[in-house]
Amino acid sequence: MSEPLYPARYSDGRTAAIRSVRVSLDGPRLTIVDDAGNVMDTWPTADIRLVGAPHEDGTLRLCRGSGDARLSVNSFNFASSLEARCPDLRRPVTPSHLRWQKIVLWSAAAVAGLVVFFFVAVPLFAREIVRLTPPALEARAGAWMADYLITIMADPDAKRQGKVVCERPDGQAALQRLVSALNSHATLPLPPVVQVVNSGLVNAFALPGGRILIFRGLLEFAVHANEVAGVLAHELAHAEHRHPLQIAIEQTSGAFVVGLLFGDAVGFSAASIAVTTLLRGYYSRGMETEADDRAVALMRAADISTLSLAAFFERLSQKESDLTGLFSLLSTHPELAVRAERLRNASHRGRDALTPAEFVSLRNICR
Amino acid sequence: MHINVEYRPSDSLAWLLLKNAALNLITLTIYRFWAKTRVRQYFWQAVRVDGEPFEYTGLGRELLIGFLIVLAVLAPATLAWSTAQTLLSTDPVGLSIAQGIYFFILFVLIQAAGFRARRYRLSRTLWRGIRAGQDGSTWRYVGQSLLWGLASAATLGLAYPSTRLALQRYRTVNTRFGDQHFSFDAPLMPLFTRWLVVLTPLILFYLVIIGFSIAVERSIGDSDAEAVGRKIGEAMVAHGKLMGVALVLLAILPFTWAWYRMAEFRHFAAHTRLGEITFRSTARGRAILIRLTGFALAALGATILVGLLVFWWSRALISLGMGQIFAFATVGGVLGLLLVLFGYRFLWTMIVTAGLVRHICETLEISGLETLDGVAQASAPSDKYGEGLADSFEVAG
Repeated sequence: MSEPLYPARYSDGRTAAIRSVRVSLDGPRLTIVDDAGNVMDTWPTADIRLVGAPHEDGTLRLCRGSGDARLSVNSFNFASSLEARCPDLRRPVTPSHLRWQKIVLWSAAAVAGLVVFFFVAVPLFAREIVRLTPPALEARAGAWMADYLITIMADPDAKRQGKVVCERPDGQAALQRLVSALNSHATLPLPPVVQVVNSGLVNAFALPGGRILIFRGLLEFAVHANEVAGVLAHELAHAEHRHPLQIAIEQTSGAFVVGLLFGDAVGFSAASIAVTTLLRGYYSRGMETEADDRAVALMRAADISTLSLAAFFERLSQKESDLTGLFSLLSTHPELAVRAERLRNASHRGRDALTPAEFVSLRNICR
Repeated sequence: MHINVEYRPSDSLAWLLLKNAALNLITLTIYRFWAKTRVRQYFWQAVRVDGEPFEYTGLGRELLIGFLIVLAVLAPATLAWSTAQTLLSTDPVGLSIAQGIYFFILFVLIQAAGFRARRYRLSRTLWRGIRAGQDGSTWRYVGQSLLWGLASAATLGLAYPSTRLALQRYRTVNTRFGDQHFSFDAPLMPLFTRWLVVLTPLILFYLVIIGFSIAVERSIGDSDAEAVGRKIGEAMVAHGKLMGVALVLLAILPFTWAWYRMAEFRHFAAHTRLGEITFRSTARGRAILIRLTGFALAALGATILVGLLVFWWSRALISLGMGQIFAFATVGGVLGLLLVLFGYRFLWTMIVTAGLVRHICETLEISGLETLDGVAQASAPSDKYGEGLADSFEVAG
């Protein structure tokens, strides 16, 4: 034999035995012979690959293609001669079911699937579920949520006095008149239940089952009954379309899958919180527009003036920090100006929603 | 013939982890499949038996595809789940039923994911050219862990060592090296007596806490809201000794727990066989404590360092004219997030994972390796794609 023989350790990938062997490189082949000189295997040099990084003592571990046989050689001369003959030594071997083209294809399909899931399937599904849900069941969920939110959001003083909901009779009568006027043309599945929460927050929102919470702070912030009417009409519109139930379903579905995407099912990582927020913004945006349009229609039907609404929403946007909750009056959308503009265009010159005396009673409903 | 397992890492782990963190950040964590693969390659290669290193043959792409498959199955399922959850949550009772179902499903998925992930990792483990593997039914394993978990809970933790033993047995006897199965014959008693040493102070702790709560409850009586805070304070002072006892009972828990865990490991190792091959471990519980303490100190140091950086950089930004709150929120938010997402995990892998792997290896002795030559490659097909679910539940190390 003209080619030099190098000592090596060899396991053939069929049994766990490990053998002392000698290897030689001749032409396009690597030949493995045992101590007695019998040829154990020959590897085409084109198929030889390096396994892992070379060990610190210079030992190279080699394999043949994606096979299980392993060869360890510790020789500088062998290493340089191998490098010269095997240009593909470091090229990864890919099993056929893991070719890059396939991965790219599947990833593209996954992205497309996710887009369809988030932007088509989730809203469609939520809308159907809302349609199929009995209003009585939804009302029970809403009642429970309302009780819970009232107890945690009321002012500490109000909690201490046990007056978390404001029910002064003359204020209640004014509120009832406002609700009846606006609701007479709406088609809610069940009559709405509007409550004033004894809390300084400037906010109001709709919950499932026609539950609407108005905060004392909002009544005090309003300077005219028509402004309160505008807010109420907006929340009634949400209730009419059963938006609160729909967004609850959309949000839970969305958040869970986003959590999976970023590698945690709980969904706590920063990226998933950011995406969930964006997604929620997307889901609620259409609803806010729908509610605005419907609110103007309800006010028009009740012949209540909408002239001051645009200015009121602009004033509210200055107080944005208070406006959180399931259904904020103003979501932090960039198109606040667009919204005010739309309200301005839809203006209706009607009567006042309440008499000045009634409005004072409403504002003092918590006294 | 006895052989000690060696731990001889080749490159720098810190550099690998930093590279992984940077790529994870750039790719919004999608790189995590490849990162995990690199870290496993690192640890597998570092472990040597009889001069021959282990080899991890898994690919990041396999983990990615496994993940995509799970996503395809779970995404539609979440729609059904979120609906059920919303509609069930109509009152406290409904909500607790919904949460009960949620935790049940979560438990089942986590157990199944852990078992499947182990199967995948073993099928990608190569030593002397022979692949390891795991048989057994995932659902039988989940059923066992469910029943034993309930038994543990029902006996206030008394059955915990039986739970550990039963699951370890199922995992071990279903593990193969090539075509050779492992066997397992560990008796319960030695574990059980040691477990009592862990459990007794824990139960005493709960009893003391319950006693303390009752005492406080009594002293409050029907006082009004403002007096409650003051009364709780008074009761705390009056029963201070009780609280001291409770704290001592709680403080010894890490020590007894670490002692139990390593004793359990030695016990399991001593009763695990692969044909004629036997194992003996001399791993010590204090190895866990030392690494955990090291991690706690390093994490504390890192937190203080980040706090100082936030302070200095925010001041620099403020002096450049940025708003005070905005500067602190921006710098603190970014640095704090990096620390939570990558910093602590980095320290954990460097100190706890690497340290314990080294300790476990260097204290593990293998006998009868010369009988291994007859073991043949199993022809059973290995998992085509990786882990999937396990990625979401962080059960795959």
